[in-house]
Amino acid sequence: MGISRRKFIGCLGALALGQAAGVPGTAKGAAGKEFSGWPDSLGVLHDITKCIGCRQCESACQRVNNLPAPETAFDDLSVLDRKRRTDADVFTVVNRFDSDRPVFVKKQCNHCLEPACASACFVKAFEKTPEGAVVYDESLCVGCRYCMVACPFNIPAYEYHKALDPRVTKCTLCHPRIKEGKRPGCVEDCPAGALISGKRDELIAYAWQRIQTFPERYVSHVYGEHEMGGTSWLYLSGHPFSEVGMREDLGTKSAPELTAGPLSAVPIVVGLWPVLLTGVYAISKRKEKIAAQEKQAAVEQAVAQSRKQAQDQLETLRKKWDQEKQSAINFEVKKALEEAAAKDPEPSQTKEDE
Amino acid sequence: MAKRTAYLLIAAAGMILLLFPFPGKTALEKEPGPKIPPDRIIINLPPEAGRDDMPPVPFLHTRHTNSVDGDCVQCHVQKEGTLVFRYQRIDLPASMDLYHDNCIVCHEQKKSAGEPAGPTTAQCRQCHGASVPDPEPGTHWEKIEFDRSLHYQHEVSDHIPSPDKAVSPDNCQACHHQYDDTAQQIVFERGSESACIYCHKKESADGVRSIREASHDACVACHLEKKNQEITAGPIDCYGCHAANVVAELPKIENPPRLKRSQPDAVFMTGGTAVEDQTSYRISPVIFNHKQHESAAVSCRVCHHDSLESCTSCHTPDGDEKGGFVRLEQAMHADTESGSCVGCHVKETRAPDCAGCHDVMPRSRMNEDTCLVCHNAPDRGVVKDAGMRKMRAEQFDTPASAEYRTVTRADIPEFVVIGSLSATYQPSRFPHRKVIDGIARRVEDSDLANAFHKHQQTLCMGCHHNSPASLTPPACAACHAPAVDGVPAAAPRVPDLKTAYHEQCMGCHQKMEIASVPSTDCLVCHEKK
Repeated sequence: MGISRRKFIGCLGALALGQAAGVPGTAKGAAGKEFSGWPDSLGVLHDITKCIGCRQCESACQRVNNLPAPETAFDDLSVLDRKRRTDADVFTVVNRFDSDRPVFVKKQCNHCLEPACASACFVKAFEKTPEGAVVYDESLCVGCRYCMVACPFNIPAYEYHKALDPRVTKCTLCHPRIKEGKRPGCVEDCPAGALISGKRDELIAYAWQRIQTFPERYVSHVYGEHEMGGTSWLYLSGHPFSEVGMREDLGTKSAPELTAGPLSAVPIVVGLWPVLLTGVYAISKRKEKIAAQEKQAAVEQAVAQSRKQAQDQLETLRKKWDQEKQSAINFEVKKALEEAAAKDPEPSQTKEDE
Repeated sequence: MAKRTAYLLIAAAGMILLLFPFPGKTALEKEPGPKIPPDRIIINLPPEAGRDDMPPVPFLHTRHTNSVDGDCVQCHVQKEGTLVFRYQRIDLPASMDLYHDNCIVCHEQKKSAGEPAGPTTAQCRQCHGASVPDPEPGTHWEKIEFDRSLHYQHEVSDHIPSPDKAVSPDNCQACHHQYDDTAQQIVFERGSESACIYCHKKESADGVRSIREASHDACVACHLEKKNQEITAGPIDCYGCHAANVVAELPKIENPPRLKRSQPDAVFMTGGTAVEDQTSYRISPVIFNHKQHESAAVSCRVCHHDSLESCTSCHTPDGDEKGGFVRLEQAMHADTESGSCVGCHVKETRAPDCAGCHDVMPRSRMNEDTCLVCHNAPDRGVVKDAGMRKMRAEQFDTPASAEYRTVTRADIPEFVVIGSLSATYQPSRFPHRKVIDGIARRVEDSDLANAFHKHQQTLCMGCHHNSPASLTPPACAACHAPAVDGVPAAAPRVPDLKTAYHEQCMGCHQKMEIASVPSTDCLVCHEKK
């Protein structure tokens, strides 16, 4: 065909490399199939039936994290009249849901076992620490906010008001404190016993024990045990979770697991397709070139042939014309001779007599 | 020009799509809310073969009564001073033509007279599948429960004719009857009165009219008859009996006397014996105070849910088809059913008066000690004679409150200063005796509470829990350690001291619905430092 041996082997090599890099399942990073959490990682159990909506957790969070003071004081409970979400300097909010009685729910980063934010971040600004907290490194962040899009619970907030160095903000599970063995600030300050911190496995067991001990009090479900592959924040509720603002349509697959399949195909696509397409391009280009060449040759041949033909024809014609010319000459000569003969009878007869 | 029409078309399409965003959700597909107006009657004929089935018609009776100014004969056939409670017929089965020929004709007449009228011909869907407006709060349809006060008023009323008035002054036989299958007729049998719904079920079947038909024909017909005779009687319209707010306004007799059905005062309940000639029962019999339970239950049907016979006639120890294969033990002890003994007791503990302590008590409420509260017969020997059993029951039955012992007031501290943690707030001066008095006040009238508590010290254990009953219970801090500098408590189920105090106090206030101590008002319990 025309491709050199070197090029051919080079193509093979690229194919092999691309294959090796893109085998699904061996991709590093966040595509683990069955990660049930770091052992001994911290969790927090939020018992919604016990929350009284006092907002002491919000106050503690602001104090412990040195966040700016809010516009309305934390003991102003009228803010509960409308639903709020996390904001740039607001890591956690308490919302009220009105049912047969008012129900209060605390909302913050759930510190998923396999976080979607960490998976979406292409600069690895989020890290799932062995303590259980998902922490954010602002020095790596580029501000693309893919994490905000990826989070199924809609938690990360952004400092839109800062022009030059905005950060993504979210609950840190008081990572510095829990490394010292202390409890997160909100858990510490909750007076009603709605927040309990401890090892995640122990909390799950305790939550189910509570459900069995008081079955008429709780919905038989520990939210966060399996949602999105499992979260560090676990919830118990007396009302259906969808009625207290918690999504029940998330499924039990973690976000990285959902995206691992398509993402693992990227290297193989990136490695293989240029090679393939280049090959196809090369082959088709070559084919064109050969076709052009053949066409050229054919044209030349045709031209030569027709030229020769023309020449031959010309020769034939020339011969014919020569012939005609000759015959015309002969004819004229003959005619002249005949005319001369007719005008002048035979000279031999007249000459002798006289 | 073409551009302009194109824009107009797009705008029109947009408007239409905006106005009807969810096509397909008709009124009938809307989930029926829990509240319906009391006078809503659903007209739904069974589907006929070869004919399209239209949605049911919700008919508002009171609206129509008002439109004919209370003239019932416009729609109902008269009969012996009262009415037939069917539409324009006595016995004929209902049919589409019956309704169309009468309803629509009347509507058309009213319409041509210029009065407000219902839908007329060719307005099919305005009746079929129409949506019924939600009733005003408090005026919705509610199930009619047996009311002892109303029943007593009927018992002693002079206007109720009873078939055997000469023999006895009671009016029982005016309503209570039995059906003789062999003679195929209604008979009156003294001493066999029971609830209407034992025979007249929700739907008509086997010639037995539904409870609705039977009660309307018995109750409303009589009320109407009396009204026509200018005698004050019960309600004759839907709202009068079925709307909770109207029923609450009916005349009430406080503490009506006991129903006269020759009920036992105490019942000797045994679990049977394993074999015929055994000499002792399987378990100590229960001396059941039937008289006290009569006033505790709303009606007989709470326990006698299918008939007035004894429970063991259907709920045998091994289970029987008649009892739905519910064994005797389950029937008595199932703690989720309000018809079972334990179930009803458990339900009572969820009332706000009791829930403060009982809600935090873990699930397995039955233990070795609680069996004895009910299985209290001192002797387990088999008693064969029925008369002897009755005597035993009455002999050993004691009202629970007689056994209840109180704690000496001096032993109850009046104030307890809770000050072991006071960082942000001053120590709290807890009105200990006042709280105990409040709890005691709520439970001391309850025979159920006294039967199980037996001693007022049990009330202490509501807060002083997980420790033996004592007049000097251990301090809370003995088990609930205060959290030190953010270090978590030892185990999830033992909260730290601050959480323990708050959970215990606030939880109780919340469950007992004590509005004067809102959980979010910190200063009510402790002043700021």
